[in-house]
Amino acid sequence: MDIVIRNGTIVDGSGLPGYRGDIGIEGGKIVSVGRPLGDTDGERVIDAAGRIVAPGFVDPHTHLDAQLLFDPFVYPTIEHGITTVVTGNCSLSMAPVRTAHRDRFSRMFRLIEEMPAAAFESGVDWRWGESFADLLDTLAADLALNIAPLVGHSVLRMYVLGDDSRRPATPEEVEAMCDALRSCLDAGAVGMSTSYVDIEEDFMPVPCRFAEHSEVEALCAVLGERGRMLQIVHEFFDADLTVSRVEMLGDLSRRFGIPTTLSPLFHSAASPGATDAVMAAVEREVATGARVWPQVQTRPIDISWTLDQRSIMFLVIPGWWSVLSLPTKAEKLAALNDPTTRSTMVKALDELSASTFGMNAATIIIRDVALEKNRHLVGTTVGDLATATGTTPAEALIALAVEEDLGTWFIRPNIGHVDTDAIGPLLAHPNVHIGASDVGAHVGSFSTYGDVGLLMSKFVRETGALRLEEAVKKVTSDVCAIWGLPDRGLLREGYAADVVVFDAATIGRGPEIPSDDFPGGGTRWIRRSEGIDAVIVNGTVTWTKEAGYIDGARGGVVAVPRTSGAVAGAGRR
Amino acid sequence: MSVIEPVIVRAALAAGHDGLAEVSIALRYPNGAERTMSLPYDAVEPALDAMHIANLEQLVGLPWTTLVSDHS
Repeated sequence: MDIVIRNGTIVDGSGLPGYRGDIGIEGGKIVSVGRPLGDTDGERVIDAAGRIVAPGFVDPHTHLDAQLLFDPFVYPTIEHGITTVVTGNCSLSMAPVRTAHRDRFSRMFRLIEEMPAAAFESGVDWRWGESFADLLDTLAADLALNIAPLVGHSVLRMYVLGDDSRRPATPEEVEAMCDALRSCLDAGAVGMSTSYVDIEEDFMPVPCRFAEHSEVEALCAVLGERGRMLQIVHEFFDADLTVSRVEMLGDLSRRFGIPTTLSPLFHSAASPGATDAVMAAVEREVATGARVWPQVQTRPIDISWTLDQRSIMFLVIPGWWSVLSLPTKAEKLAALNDPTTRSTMVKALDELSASTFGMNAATIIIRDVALEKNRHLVGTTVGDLATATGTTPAEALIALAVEEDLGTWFIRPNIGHVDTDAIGPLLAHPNVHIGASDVGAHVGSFSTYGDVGLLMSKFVRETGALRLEEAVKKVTSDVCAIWGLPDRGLLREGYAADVVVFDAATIGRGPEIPSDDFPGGGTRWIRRSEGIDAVIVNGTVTWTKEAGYIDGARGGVVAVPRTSGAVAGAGRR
Repeated sequence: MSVIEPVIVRAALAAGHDGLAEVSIALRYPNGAERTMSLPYDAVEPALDAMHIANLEQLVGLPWTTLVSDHS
């Protein structure tokens, strides 16, 4: 055998209790599960005594589309046990994009997913051309983990409508979009994504938001030809609108025979009954035969930033977005030092802080400083600084940032989705899809890595909201079933050998740390894994605790979805 | 993590939410506690085939490990 994993506790992804046994892997497939393999030779032998052996974890909501093009390991995704990711969420995929639209698409992607311009421009070379099939061929040649790609609705609209995509489509254009979607599905797309909230740099809605519902229906009919997924970003900040979207998805799911998913569903202390209302709507739709899966993330929301970058937090605060969007630090500093501009910004943020909702500048924490003389400020609040300096919080924030040449890091921790007692049962709910990690996005604002580690440490080990076997099922076979990915997500003979070996007592996520590894420079936030020993992708040992990322490990593939609803179970009662 | 050997006390085919069949089973632990779980059909099909089980009720009374193919 290629790999023998001995003496582990097998948690096979089905939800069944764990049990002691060995795993054999050959030719990228699992060939033996549970049976003692004794002295069976393996080119590689992993001693998993005291460890859990589980299927590789599947992340259903990522924006790794750009990073995959310059980093096949999509560091540090894989070391967290992730072996398959869904890309192309929120209406944005890297194809089909016409050459003429690359700049507009790039700006859209960088804005919505908060990808640094330098990283995107240095790392994305468009070497595949325009088509979705060619993109997948390009990616497949250099993948360290599996991808299940969505095609973005905004991209389809730009592809067919051209620059004039801010309008309803004609019947002919809808038909052309349907044809383009069919081509993408034929190439291996797992479904289509769309958005009801995102905007472009000029604050106008992204192209898919100009679609009439009949256009969405026509595209869902195409998805229905193959039983593929519709993913939406809904109005997650409003419970009533979210319930309406759940009902809309229920209708689309029933009529076109498709699975649907909406993300993210957050729990909010300000509106604690909202998730109950949404889940009640989901249960009503499911009870009538619809497939509607709300995605819930495990981690609370924290946002870090400097004034040398744009953060979506400042998108709607008058005066801030335009300054933070200036192309150079020198221009930003000049604007921040301009009395009129600064006065406008201070007034806007202080007024917002005085309101009962929205960002309160006084509670912002000074996370890190550029000047040693300011080191004592780390961990204190902007409100503390304002009191000490006899000014307002907004002025104190700007003054400190300017003094430090915009090198000060600020953080708003635990903004939402923090109530563990509420989120645990939500994650365990049979109609909830654990996901919405957003890995690959918002890289300069917070770390999106390590959500499964947090699931295991907080919601399995610490609170007991889920049994270990249930949690593993939720992030393995459940995801594959929901997305129609066959032969993955379980440890069974004949299944793809996507395997993670971990310590149930220590699996978690490391602290959020800065990393300067992206091309073009700039800081992003990451978390390293904890408690994970080895990650295997299609029979290729890709990461181990001892060796790190294995040079040349390229076990990943494009995970092709099943064509239509399965008929498993036929013939048995 | 379970370290004791539960026995299957109920088993039935159920409709999954995604067009996939699921096998709903109830396990009873030696201490009398019961837990119901829904398993992907794909996860148990090899074991059912190996044991020539045509009716899921035939699983009742068997240890849960029979559902793991290589333990059948």
